[in-house]
Amino acid sequence: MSTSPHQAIQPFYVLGLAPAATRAELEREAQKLLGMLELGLSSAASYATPLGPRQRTPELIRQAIAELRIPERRLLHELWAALPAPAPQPQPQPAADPSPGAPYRDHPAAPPPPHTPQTAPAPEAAPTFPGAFELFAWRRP
Amino acid sequence: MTRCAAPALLLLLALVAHDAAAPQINGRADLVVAILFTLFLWAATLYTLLVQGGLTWTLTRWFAVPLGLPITAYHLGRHAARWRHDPHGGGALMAVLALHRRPEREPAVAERLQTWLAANPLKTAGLVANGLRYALHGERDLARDLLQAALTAEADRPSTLAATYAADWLCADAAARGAWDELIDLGARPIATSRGAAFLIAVARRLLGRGAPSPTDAGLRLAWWLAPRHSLTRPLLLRALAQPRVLHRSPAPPPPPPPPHEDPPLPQDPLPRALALHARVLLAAPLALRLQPARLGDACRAWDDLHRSGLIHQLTAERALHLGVSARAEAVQDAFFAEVAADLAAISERAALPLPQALAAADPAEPTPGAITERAIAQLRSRLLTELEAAIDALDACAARPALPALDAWREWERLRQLHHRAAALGGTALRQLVFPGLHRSACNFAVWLWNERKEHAIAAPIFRWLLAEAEHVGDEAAITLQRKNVGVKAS
Amino acid sequence: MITAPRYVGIDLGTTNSTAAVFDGDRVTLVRNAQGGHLTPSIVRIDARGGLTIGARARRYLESDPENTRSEFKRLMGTGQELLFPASGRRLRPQELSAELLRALRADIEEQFGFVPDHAVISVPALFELPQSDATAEAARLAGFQRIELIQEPIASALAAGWTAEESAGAWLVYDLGGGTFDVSLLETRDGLLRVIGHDGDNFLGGRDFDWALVEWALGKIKEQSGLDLSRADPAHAPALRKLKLAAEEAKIELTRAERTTLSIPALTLHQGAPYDLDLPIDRATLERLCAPIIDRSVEVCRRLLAAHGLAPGGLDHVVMVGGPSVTPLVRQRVSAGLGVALSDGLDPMTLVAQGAAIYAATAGLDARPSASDVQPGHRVWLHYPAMSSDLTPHVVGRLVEPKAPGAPTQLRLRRGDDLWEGPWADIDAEASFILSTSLLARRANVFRIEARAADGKPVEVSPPAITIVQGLTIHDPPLSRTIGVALANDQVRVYFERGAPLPARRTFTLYTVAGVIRGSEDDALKIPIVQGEYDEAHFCRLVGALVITGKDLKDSLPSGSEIEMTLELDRGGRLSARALIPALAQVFEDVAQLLVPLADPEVLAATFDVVRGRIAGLRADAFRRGAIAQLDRLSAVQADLDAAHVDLEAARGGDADAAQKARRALLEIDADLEQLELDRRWPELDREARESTIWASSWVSELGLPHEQRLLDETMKALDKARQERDPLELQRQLRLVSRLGNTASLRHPEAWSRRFESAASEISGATDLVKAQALVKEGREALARGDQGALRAVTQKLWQLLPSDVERRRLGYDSGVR
Ligand SMILES: Nc1ncnc2c1ncn2[C@@H]1O[C@H](COP(=O)(O)OP(=O)(O)OP(=O)(O)O)[C@@H](O)[C@H]1O
Ligand SMILES: [Mg+2]
Repeated sequence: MSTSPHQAIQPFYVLGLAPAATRAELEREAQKLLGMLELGLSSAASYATPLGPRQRTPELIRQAIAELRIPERRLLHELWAALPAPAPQPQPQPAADPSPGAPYRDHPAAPPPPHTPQTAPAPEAAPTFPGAFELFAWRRP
Repeated sequence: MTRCAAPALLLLLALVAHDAAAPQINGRADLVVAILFTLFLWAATLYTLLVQGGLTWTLTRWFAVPLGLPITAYHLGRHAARWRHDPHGGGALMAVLALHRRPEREPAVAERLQTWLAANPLKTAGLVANGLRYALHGERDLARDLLQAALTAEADRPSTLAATYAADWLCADAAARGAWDELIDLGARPIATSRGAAFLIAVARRLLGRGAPSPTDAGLRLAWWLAPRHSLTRPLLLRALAQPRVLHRSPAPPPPPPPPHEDPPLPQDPLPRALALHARVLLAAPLALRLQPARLGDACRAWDDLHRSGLIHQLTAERALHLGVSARAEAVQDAFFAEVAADLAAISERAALPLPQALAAADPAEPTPGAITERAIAQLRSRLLTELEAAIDALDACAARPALPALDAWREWERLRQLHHRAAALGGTALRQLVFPGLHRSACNFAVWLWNERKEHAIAAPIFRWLLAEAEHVGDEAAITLQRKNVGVKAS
Repeated sequence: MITAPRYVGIDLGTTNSTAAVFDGDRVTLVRNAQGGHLTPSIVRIDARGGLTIGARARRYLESDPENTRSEFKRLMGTGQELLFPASGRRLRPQELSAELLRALRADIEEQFGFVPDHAVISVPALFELPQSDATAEAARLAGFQRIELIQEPIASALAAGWTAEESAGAWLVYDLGGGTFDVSLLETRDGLLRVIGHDGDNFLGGRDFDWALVEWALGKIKEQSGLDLSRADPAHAPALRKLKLAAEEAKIELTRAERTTLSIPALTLHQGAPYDLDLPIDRATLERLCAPIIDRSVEVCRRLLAAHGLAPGGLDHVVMVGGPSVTPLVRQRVSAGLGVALSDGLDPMTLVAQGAAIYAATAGLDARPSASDVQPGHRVWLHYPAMSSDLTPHVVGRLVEPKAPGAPTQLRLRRGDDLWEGPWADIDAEASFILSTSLLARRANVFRIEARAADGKPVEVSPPAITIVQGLTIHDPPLSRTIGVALANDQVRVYFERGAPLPARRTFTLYTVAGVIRGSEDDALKIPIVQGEYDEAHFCRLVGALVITGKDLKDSLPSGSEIEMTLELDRGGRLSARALIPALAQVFEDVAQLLVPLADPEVLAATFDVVRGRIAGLRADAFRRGAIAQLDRLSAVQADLDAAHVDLEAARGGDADAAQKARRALLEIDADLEQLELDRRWPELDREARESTIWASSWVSELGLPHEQRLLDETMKALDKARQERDPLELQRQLRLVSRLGNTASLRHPEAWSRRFESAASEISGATDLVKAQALVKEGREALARGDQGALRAVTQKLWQLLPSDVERRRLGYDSGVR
């Protein structure tokens, strides 16, 4: 029950390469990205997926390249990566969630994510009354 | 009766003793005796006044609680006549209320509270106190469950003060989340609500135009005026007044949530297209609120079609040859579809949306699931059944632990009930019928154990009621008869 | 002047240890004080506490065995202390290893003029976590600041691949050492080495040849003089030690000579007089004694090949490593058994150390003490692979002070031979740059870093040059054995598969099976961490556990609570664990690190008896059923058990290593028996499955609702699949579902409860309280006679509660509290 959808941690997306890349290209890119992360370069800090940009970590890169080294695993990932990741720049999509499993981690009772109230104030949304607890002199949980 | 008689007798005795002692005050020792007698007399008088005359309650309610003195609140509250039937729970409830008034979280006091709360058996006041304690610690979900349970436990005599506190908190919680429909449901229950809660319920009725007749402007203002903290509630009053009053509204379905963003065009090729549809489903975050059934249905359909077309087979065979793993091509293809099905099952679960329903929403003409969707459905069902089995096992294990605190026993049950609720939403009547025999056996044993051996009537009664309702739903005659009897015992 | 980097690799062997230094072009073996490359792994402490190590200590092995210890590698991770009576000192195995490492470190200083701070140390592929941990600790004690562990076969393959002309294809590394046998299947493609699989035997090696020879000699001695020496008798230990040393010498001699004699003057006292041993032996005898051991190793190789779908002939290279692998018979049998020629020209004794040194380059572990030499010029941070199989790797860099006056705006690399220079790369807004390279194959490539400022003037940068070695590489060290969490149902939730690249981290959500009450000391949630390749937890080694008691909890934890359990392994394979309980927002991190359990001979003997009993039971059963195949397999298991008995005897005589070996063997035999048992049970299970489906489908078709019918069809499909795959657990799961469906439908029948009662009544022999169960059955029969369905139902339900549950299973799973 790992919580990340397959498309979020797809090795080809993590490395930013197409499924047709050669083994050497993959290795070279992984090596380069690891170096860039080590030096703290922001251009390597995130990668594009169909689920929006995600944070790239050395761990993810290592896992990705290790997966792609095994031919049958690579074959499997090629299938998942058949949909090219969107171009990274013009993405007014939901802001990147730092936790890789974001789309699955919805807690229905949790307060709505911070970006919803500003960006999408649904016209006839019912009001909330956060002060209701004070009304009874209760501490707000 | 004895509680009343004893102090009266004491008082009488003291008076007699006092009189007997008065004429002989000469020695020092006599003086001491006399003073002691006098003090004793005063104490006895005070006690009688406080406890029997309702002064304790007044002091607790208007002095200890507002000043935020939990320990005083507990000790005074315990003796209030109001909590005669549940002194521990009542005292603890007063203490929690006092704690709510304190600006800081105090671990030491919270610790003591826990020991007070551990007293058995757990009755309504105790349940409510526990719920409010969780609220204090920011565990809102747990608090909500507990307080709901407290209300259910009180269904037969809803007028108790504890129920009022529970309802108050639930109202506040619903209003804070903007869940006005829950307020309407609360309003429909026969509970003596406080004035604050009454105002919130009136607002809810006005805002949604449902429930009891939508209140008039004057009615709203009156409710507002009766409720405390006028400055705090004024904006809400104004917002409610701005809502036109509705007398009859047809129950229009809520409008579908707006799509989170513009959809990019779908690719033409079947595999990228299925992947794009899959991604589109996952982009609806949080799934439970924003996923449109038709979208999930589209994705399922796309995968089923892809599977049927045999395209993946060609694709993998070709690439496997290139990568030198031809022998494993078949296995890789299987693994791929297994991952897809696992994703779909997880989505369905998180979104609480059964896949057949999603398929029907996408295309009412073609609601039969294909191979991949079938697989996802079977996977989800087997997961739900396993979960339920484990929860039932855990319930069975409870009876073997005599030292299990009542609250923990309740939480075991509550977890099973919620799990069942979720599973039922996904698996429908079929699943409910499937699990009922085992569930009934264990839950009934559990409740009987709670009732007979632990005397935890407040927890056991709702279980019997729940079992009866469930038995009626699945049509298990024997269980219905049995639970009718159990519920009946409770009522008498 | 730029000095080349130095990479240090150490083979910390059971018998011999070796160090090697790699400079990017060549591997140089380190010489010890005696001028040899092999330092015997022997430590002696004399009465004054003076230490003697290596060949000089070896001389005392015979004369002063008490104070001279060898083969302590085999006790690594057990926490057993070794006593040196003369000095009264007690040292743990890792402390002895540390002394050895310190000596090797001194040898390196002697030869190369620097004290290495970093090194790569090799460990057997089948080492488990506690053993790896102990090795790392030994290195720390010896003063190394940073080390990495590499598995011996990977090191061998790296070394072999580094020298081989043509390295592509499938490799088999056959490493028969003093006490362990490792075999690994590797593959090289595009200059990258990949481990496909490991196998081996932690208790097979040259020592077994020695002991075989000793046993033979004991037989001869008894035959000739009636002197009965036994390994089980501690009084005979000195004589046996001498005999074993002589046997080893004879064995080594017989690799070259055709015959020799085992001669030990005054081996022991026999009938009051010193007994002199003088026993001629020829190579044929030795080979006859060793053949079964060698065949066992070849069998392991074949098993490994088969597991990865490779025919024996499909190998491209076979590399022989370890002392015994120079024995002609071993080479001959392996070559014949695998149907390939063996690679030659490689030194089997030092290959591992060489590979470790090459791996140090891959890992970028330059051993020279980090010089704080401040060189002139603008400082740059660089990131590049110290060793690369790729001919054009990238070099990523960043200016440390981009705002400094005269800072460069463009950089490029120029290769040391001046035959290649890269294009100028611009420095971007983040002061970073990416440089291209071009490597010459199979050598160390030095690149000068050239930089120029905005005005085109050359600028000095620091460091002025870098070195990248081109050659066969392996990127991340792979995990040697699967690691997971034992679950309450005796299954294992696998976190890291064997071969997973390190470092690694993984989180799974687990669920508690029982509640834990806050404040209660008796209530504890145990999360056992196990290592091994078995599906059942109790066959795997328990390597650690996270225990959360009620006292640690902020609040009570109901059953089914989520626990987000994270396991993390660093590059060296060190494990840490972390359990987050989201409901309480509490984190637990202290894992009780476990040691390899000491094998107590008494406990072993008891286990031995149990296993023997089990075999006897199975055999009797097989006889009854006339199952010939089962009987054959049982005899094989029996043979293993007999072999274990020899070790058990030796363990009684005080041989801790033999005890470990016996323990492992018993565990493996147990697993074999489990498989046998399953095979025996399978037809029964299968029959049960068929009967249940027939029973359930008749009920469902008669009284079931349409959706139940659909569900049953689906379940039967899944059931068939489980039957085909012979998956007993899945089969049982589906079976439960089938019977539940059948039950639901059958309940609609007026006579449902009488049938259930009968079936429960037929199982009461297993009831927890037989007397009560019998009373209930009686009561039920009466109700049945009366036709009182309600009473019957109540009785049946009470009966069910007395039937056995799954307590037993949970105990097997190391009392795991999670699922
Ligand atoms: N020429 C030889 N012929 C046969 N056996 C030999 C020869 N030389 C050494 N041996 C045996 O090889 C064994 C030692 O091998 P090696 O040094 O490879 O083991 P090791 O690396 O110390 O052990 P391990 O790899 O298990 O830690 C000893 O049992 C020794 O008797
Ligand atoms: Mg070795």
